[in-house]
Amino acid sequence: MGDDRGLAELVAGAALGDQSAWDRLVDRFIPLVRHVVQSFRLAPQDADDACQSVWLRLVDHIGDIREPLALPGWISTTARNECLTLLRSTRRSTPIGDAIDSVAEFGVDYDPTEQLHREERTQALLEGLAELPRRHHELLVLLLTDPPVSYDEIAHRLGMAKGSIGPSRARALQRLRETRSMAALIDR
Amino acid sequence: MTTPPHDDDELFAALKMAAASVLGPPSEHEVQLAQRARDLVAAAGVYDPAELEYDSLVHAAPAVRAAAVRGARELVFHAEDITVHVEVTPELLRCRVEPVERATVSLSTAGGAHQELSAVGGSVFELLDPPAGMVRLEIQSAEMQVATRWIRL
Repeated sequence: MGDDRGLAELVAGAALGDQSAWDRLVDRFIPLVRHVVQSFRLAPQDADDACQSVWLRLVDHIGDIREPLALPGWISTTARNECLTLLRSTRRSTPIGDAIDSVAEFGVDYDPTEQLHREERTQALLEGLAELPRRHHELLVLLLTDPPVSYDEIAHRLGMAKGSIGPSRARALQRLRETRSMAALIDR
Repeated sequence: MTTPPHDDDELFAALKMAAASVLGPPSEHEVQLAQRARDLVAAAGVYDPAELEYDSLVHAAPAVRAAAVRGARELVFHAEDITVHVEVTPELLRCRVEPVERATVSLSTAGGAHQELSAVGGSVFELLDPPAGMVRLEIQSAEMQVATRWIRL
């Protein structure tokens, strides 16, 4: 596979205006941004606005990032802050009835603590996935694709033997456990 | 359960569940958004950045902050050779560029739209009904090309 740069190299390249490095970063982090923004259930136009704001903030600050492996956390936090800013500006004009309806939607079994834990876990998994070296990242994304991609197709796309997919998956999952994001989840 | 599973299949299942809603094929609209994000880095490289030094929504005393929320917000950006003072209300954006020199100022939105500000004095520029959302000002003269950091109006 052509571009096997790690996160640190992608950040350094993007900071110097390398278009391909920036493209790789955007592609890698789109799922994480989508996830955080979706969790706020914004109106579609506000959701687009929040997503775009994350990229604008990143392109503004990419040169200031000293610890590339912290980028997934930075992106999650920035996406959350953009959503909160939009929510605050919307709430000033939201009729109170709408707020009550949105709480009622959760139903009587809604457990905010469990929801928070689930959300933390989901976010850590997606941040960890984005943090992985390119080879492991691509393999896991292909294995997660729905509808499933055949092992033959995965082997072809990644230029690897079909028989090595299983062991590579195990190594990728182990790396995922060791990522900064997943380690932070265990420490909480 | 907050800790990740030790078993590979359990961890993979958790990852699959986490990724279910975000790894699907992007819609046409999402493809456009992603392309807009990809285009940002080329546009960013053209300008020298002017850093945000003051925002009355953030840095001012509480009473001034309250006024800024109601409408009158002040911002100051600084680059190597220039300072840009901005005063913005929902009806008007006015900016002053120092030192005074012949320049053009335009406002750029996250969606890629550009609006040129009207020069109303040697170094003062105005735009009626500035758009809400993420914007930046781009200042160009014979000697410089400077863009403010993106801010949300």
